[in-house]
Amino acid sequence: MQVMSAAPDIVQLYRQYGHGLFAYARSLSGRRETAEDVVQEAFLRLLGSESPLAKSSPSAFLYGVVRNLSLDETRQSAMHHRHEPAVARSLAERVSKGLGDEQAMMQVALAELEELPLDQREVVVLKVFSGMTFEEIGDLLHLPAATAASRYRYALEKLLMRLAPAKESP
Amino acid sequence: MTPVELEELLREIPDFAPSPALEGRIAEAAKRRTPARPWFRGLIPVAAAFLFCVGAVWMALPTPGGKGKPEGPMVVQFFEEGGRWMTSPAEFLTLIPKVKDRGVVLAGPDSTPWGLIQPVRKACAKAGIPSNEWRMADRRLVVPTPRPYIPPRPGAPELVRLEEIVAVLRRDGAGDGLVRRIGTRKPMDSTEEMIQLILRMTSDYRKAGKTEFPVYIDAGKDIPWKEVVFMMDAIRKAGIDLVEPDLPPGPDEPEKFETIPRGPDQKLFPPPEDK
Repeated sequence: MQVMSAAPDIVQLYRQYGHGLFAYARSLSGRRETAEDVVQEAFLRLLGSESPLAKSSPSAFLYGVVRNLSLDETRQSAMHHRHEPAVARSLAERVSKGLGDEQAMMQVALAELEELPLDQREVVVLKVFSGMTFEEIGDLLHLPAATAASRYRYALEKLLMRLAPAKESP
Repeated sequence: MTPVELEELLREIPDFAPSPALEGRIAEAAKRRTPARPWFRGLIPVAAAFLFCVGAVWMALPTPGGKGKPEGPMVVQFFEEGGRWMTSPAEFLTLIPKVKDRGVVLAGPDSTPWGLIQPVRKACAKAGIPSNEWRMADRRLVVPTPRPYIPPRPGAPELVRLEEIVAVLRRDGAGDGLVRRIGTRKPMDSTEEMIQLILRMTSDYRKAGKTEFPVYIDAGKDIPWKEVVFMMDAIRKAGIDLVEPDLPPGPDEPEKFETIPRGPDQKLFPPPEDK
């Protein structure tokens, strides 16, 4: 049945791309609740969309919608000051004292990741959580692949440098 | 820490993992927002065309209990054929009472004899139509129908009535020109002379305290329609708005006639007796 096969299988797509999309939305918006709403809206738009991109490359469509919605949400929200990296890092350091080494490192890593500039942060998230190549990241963000790669390298260097003391302190 | 270890560490951050309920939420929302099926979308133009046809038929059919598109006024046409003036529809006396809600328009050339027009106006008055539209050549004007005569109540004191101002129009002795006069006064040479006399009479009536003094026009049956309209225009131009192209309302029965005689007025200019 051509009609049935033309309709996207939302659950299947979610299982394939949901984690990466959520991580991307979470990194852009800074809030889990907002990220879940954004991901859900992206899948629903895919369902009702007639655009060729939605049919030919649903993942590109989904990531584009998530990016636009997350950035809009961030601009419109009165919570745009939600993200205070210094506060988050100190909080993470305090919390990490009561946690195991690995969990403490995750908290610090999260705080450091959120402290990165947006353009570097989103490249890191797309690379690490979504497993995209630099070409795919460049297509999504309208960047040359080399620029995406250099942003990724700068971001990792920053994170490694900042996480080194935390790794050594315990 | 190596870059690979850092990537591994980042992947393990629980804050970047969606809640397990999100998948169910999305699946449920997707069920509620199922897109229109292609076969249904194909029916949309068909349904639109069907509704358009229904609307067109609805507009064309008369409304239930009504007459559909409202009809305009009935037009009574005057025309000359074979040397005889005729009225269409000929049965206007029976038709006019039936169309009193629509109104009646009198149309014809400006040479239409007045004797053809007056019966239609009187029939309208009898049917309760307050006014008619006159359509002649390039003129259109609305003229009230003859006023009904209201007899005085029995036993009412007799009123002292002033002489009504009546402009009389008749054919002259040769049958081509007009004889103009006011009431029973001697004929006058021109319309301007008549207007001067009418103005003097109205001035006298004002002094006597009379506030309403219509000027009546008593035109002969063979007087062309345009002469009546010309006289009405001249009187109105002099500042008298109340002009009625009829005789003053009275108890007399309207004059009956079958044909409109041509030539001089029979009363004013009786034919010479054969010797």
